[in-house]
Amino acid sequence: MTERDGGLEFLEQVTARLAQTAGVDDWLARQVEMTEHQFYLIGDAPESVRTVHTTRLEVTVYNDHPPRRATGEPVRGSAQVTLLPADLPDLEARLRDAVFMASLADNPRFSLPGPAEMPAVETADPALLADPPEMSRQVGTALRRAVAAEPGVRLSSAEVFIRERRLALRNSRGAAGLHHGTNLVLDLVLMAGAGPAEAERHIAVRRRRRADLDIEMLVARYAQQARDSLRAVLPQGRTGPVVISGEALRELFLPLLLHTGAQFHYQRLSPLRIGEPVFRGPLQGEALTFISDGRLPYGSRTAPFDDDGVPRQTTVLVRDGILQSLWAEHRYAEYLNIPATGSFANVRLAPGATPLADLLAGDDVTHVVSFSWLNPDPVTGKFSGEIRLAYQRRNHEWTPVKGGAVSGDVFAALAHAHFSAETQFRGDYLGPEAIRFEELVVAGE
Amino acid sequence: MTTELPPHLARLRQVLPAIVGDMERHVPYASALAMQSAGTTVRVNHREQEVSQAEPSQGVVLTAFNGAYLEELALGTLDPDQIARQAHAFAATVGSRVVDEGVQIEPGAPLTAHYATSCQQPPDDVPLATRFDHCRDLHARLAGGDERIVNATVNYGDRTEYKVFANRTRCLSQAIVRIRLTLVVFMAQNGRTEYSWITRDGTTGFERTAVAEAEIAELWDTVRMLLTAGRIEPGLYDVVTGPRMTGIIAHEAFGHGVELDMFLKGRARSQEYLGKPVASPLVTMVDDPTVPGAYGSYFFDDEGQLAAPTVIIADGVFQRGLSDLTAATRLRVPRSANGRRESFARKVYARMSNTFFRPGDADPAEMIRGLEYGFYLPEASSGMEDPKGWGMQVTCPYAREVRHGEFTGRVLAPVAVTGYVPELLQSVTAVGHDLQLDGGHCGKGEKEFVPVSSGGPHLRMKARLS
Repeated sequence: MTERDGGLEFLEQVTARLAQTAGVDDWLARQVEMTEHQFYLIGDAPESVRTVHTTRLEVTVYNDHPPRRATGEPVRGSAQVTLLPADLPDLEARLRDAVFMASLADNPRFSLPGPAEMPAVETADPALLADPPEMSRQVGTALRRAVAAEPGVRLSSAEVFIRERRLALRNSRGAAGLHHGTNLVLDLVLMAGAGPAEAERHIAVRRRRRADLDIEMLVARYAQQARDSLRAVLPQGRTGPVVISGEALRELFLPLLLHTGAQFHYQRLSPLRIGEPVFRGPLQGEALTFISDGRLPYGSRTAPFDDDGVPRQTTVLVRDGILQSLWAEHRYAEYLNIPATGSFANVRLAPGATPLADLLAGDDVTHVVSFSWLNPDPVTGKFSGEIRLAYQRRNHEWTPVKGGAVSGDVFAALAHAHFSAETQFRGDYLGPEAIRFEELVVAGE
Repeated sequence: MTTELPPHLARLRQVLPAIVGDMERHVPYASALAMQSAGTTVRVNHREQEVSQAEPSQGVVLTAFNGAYLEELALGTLDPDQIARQAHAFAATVGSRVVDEGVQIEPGAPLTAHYATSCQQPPDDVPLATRFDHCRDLHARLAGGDERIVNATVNYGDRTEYKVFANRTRCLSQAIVRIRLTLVVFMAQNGRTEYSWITRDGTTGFERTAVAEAEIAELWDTVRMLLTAGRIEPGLYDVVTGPRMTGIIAHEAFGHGVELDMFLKGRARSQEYLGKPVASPLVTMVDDPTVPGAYGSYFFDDEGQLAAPTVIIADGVFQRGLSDLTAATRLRVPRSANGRRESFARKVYARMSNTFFRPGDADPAEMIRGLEYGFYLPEASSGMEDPKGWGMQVTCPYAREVRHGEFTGRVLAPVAVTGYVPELLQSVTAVGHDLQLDGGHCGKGEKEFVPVSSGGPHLRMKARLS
């Protein structure tokens, strides 16, 4: 796989042994090599510098056997083990243990994906790979320069990670693939004000390439929010329109992501049905189009194949508010007799027809730019998130607010929503910059 | 035996002091932490079963102080020769940029020791088939209680974690067993699906996974209640919190804000309150990695500091925070044993261990009977810290309405508790005489997960619910 790390010898040694191990009816192996440079700042000074190298082999063995507590057709069990280079002398015993673990579990039989042509995708950034330690320092310098240009704001701390990951996959049915990816992770805290009146903004971003991280714009946006936090007051309690923008949007779609997955349906945890609306109640706004995009250029979850070796693809899950199909890992696709799309990739939402400025129209609107943690229940879709920073119009002017909470139900809220025409790319999300939900509860004064 | 070091680590323990000594020829302070962890996971539900190895971790982190800050090299190997070679080259590189800023790192009093958790039934001594069959039996018991049950899940995990720490004065090792069991029941009715769960955890053995029939029946009752639950009218209410909810308040609302790396970064409001009241005089809060059997317990932290309890709040007054080596050195405060890392591949931070409010003298049943109108919040599902703003967000899966000291049968779900932390803690008017700790994994922000527990007694207070 790499000249530097000795290629695929580890993978080849293990897969050769797998093929000879009694009780291994199928196998899947992934060799993962990771190198990461980590640079930590407190204020302007380095706090720590770290370099990490790891190599591991993730192996799944599949064993077919009669059911343990019943009679009937043979069933299949699987077990995962992670092997490190130091495990090679004990490989036979480790694989024997894995076969025993797999022999305990009784599941309906399923097959593994076979050979396939893997799509060419863009996931590695040469600019990050040229000199990662130097790049991490450059990012730190750019960050400090951008913060220095912002009045009334200082850098509390920052973490810059540059990660290179190489993965090689093979299975017993001939699937094979290589993937090389990079990640730039920036985690920073901006502080505005002084003494008891200080307020902070915490930002965490992940991009596959340096060119997708506009540090000046990022700092300018969040510095303004930090300054606004200084004069924020408790929100007025109301039930009405709430516009959610920024990083909170990705989390809002977690329940829909799970409910459009084959495993959730196989587990009988979703009431959604193909050909029916995903929202609850009559449609009063714009209808949602929701896509799993496995080939989004430089998307955080873009790859040539998923963990099972299914080629990544772009799948329209919800079109105009109607459930079209399920994303399905190979096993669950077989169980439900539907096409295998592979695991969920990047979230892509179709933009709406309304400019953001129009979404913000009206005296009763609350515009939330940051929650403490928007954490909707994955099964029920209900949520209640504390407002870290929002804006409410008072006397025709936007007033920053914080504290209080916004609550609702994702599936009900989608029945009466409008999507901005402007879009944003956030690593694993490409879609509207903001969404307006017409009826959510704002708890406050 | 899970109490002894595995062979790779035992060999490494012999040579790590010499490797650190070689590094200190180039830098003013060096240390090494080698770790290895492995375990088993079992998952059983209505439609799937799985037995697997828990993702193992194995490697070493070499730390070198360059006079200004710590530099680290993390390697995914326990091979002594390879580590010695890499350590030498790494220390020589760091040594070439050593500066003297007058900062000294104190290595601690000399000590060589090995520690291990005690279990009645070490998981490795229980045959894997027995552990799996126990989970299948638990699943069968969970599945039969109501025709509305659409799924039930049993998740079991055990993990044994071995660590060796060496610096110029210390060579320490520990073996810690952690067990965790989660039972979840899902019921559906009229297109609505609801669920609830119970957990078992600890630095204990397999004996911790026994579950009584009454607990399973109570779990079914909870899910049945949720199927008809409504939403709460937002407002400020009198509430009584159960130990799980109390623990999340301790951990999220106050605990994260007293991790002293937050002081270095200027991110903690609590910094202004050292020695000042932050809570009702009824409130005492501690972090204690020595609690026997608790999920967040250990014998020494990842920087070689021996575990000991830290009183954070005493009788309502903020006493001190939790430190890692860097924060204690830079802030010139005594160290506590809270320097922890997710794995050898991650940096150390100041982190909590077992964080809880100490019990008082009130009877929990009387506390609920004393509510004229309010809510009982027995559980918490998640929380998020806000050390600078001292805002808090804790999500409870449900609240039970109380009127004239009696449960009305009305249940509201889910419920968020938000507000200003000191206001909440100062509103505490009764502290129960009970104490319970529950384990989980805590992140710093949204990453760096380490095993912890939190808890305490029942508390009566005023809280903003929505």
